[in-house]
Amino acid sequence: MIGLRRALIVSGVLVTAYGIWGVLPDPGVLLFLAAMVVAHDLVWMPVVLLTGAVLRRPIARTAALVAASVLVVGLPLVVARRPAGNPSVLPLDYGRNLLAVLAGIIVAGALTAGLGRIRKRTERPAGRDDR
Amino acid sequence: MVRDPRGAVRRAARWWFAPLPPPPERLRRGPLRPAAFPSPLRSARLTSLLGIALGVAFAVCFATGLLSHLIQHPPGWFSWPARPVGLYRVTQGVHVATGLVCVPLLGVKLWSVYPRLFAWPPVRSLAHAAERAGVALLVAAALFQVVSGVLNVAHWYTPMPFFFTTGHYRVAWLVAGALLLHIGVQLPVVREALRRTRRLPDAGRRRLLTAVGAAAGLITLTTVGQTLRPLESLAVLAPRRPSRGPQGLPVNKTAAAAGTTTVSAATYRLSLTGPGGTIELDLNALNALPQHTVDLPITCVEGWSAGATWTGVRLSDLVERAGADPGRATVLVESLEAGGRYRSSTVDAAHTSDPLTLIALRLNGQVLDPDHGFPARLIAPNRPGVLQTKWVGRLTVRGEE
Repeated sequence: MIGLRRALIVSGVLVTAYGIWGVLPDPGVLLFLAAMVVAHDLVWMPVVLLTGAVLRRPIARTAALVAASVLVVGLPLVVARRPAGNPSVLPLDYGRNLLAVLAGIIVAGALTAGLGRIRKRTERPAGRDDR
Repeated sequence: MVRDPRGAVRRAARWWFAPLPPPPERLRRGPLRPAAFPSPLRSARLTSLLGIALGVAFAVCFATGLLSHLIQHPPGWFSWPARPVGLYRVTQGVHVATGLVCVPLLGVKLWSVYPRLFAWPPVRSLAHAAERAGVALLVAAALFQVVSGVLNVAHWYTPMPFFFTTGHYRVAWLVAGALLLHIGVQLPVVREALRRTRRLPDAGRRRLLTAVGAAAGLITLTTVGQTLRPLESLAVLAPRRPSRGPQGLPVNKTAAAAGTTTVSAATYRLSLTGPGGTIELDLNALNALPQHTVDLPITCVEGWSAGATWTGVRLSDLVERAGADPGRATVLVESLEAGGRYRSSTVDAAHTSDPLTLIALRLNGQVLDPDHGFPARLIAPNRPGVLQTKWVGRLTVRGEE
């Protein structure tokens, strides 16, 4: 295990050095790298934690996690401008589609919560009989 | 004065690992105070499981991405076969689909280790500082790859102050290196976390992993139809549909964007240069040559692909006409477009000699749409779309290699 770790660390340092050497001459890449860390750690994550603090129910949190993931993939499609004269790039109404998918997530979450409540209610009398 | 070199190394190691003075306790507020992140779901085990899944996903993305880079910029030692016909379609489809699945995986993985950003003391020693810098680099590079990939697929280039293809490729090496380093450092933690048998009920953690799976599944379901035609109608968040475009096929660069709208059937000439000299073929001459029909996909590096039926002249027939052996010749294919990164491409011998490689004149039985490269385009098996040169104006056959 020590040998494997040593090999991983040495090759990791070498490959990282090659990577740094590759991105150093590109200030745009460096800027975007820094922007990613700052945006994620100081903006995105606090928003996620706040949302989690507001949504206490596990099903609501699950739905929010799925919705957030879909938003990361879907929002750029909504914001991006379709190139002129090329109807095959971004051919759909992504704003409407994204809303439909988000609505689907909410409905699925509500149905799961409802089913869980019904199951609990039907299980309770059986539990009493067992006593 | 001869010094003992081992003593020097030992002194350097001691300096490197020596603890730094701790920061004053009164700085310990906000997220830095103890128990600032109370979620019981975070655990070394959860982080390890997510880390393994993410590591596998990143390995798949790195391998398929590197392959795509090598195909487009082949070094001397690299050769890419013409068969299986749809291999590139699979590797690049997997590259983009796996990259999209990384969105929830990376998001939750970073959530699970977020409190460590506010570890106390922030830096214990120089070695600890170096380790944290390595993690920061890994986080930056991983976010860079996933976000830039999503933005590129969505054709939203405004937020990226760099050329996507180059930046994405270079940062891939950064991820690979930082990830190897990270695995090397964290291996004992992961082993310990996975070995431990759990006695506590784990419902919350299972629910979290289910949510990650559901998010990954939903993203895949709403996008993968850009290349898997049976799922096309579900691809409501796919930047392409395999049947949307002129003649029912997507197009990346239009004739208007390439400046080739003035090309006309009457004035068109294909210039064919080889060991036997240069000949010019007009459209009638091309149509008079033996025509062949093949089914080949067009595959974009952005992850979409679509099959189509192409009819035209075999490239190998043209190479023979130019006086070269198709089994050993490479062909430089140049477009009539004035500029652009993919104005020309080189077809190696494996593809030149393949009977499926055509200078296509028809698509699904119709004359090519201007956006599909009228009057003639290259179509070859198992090649990225950017190398399937459109509006072909010149073929230069380079003989025996």
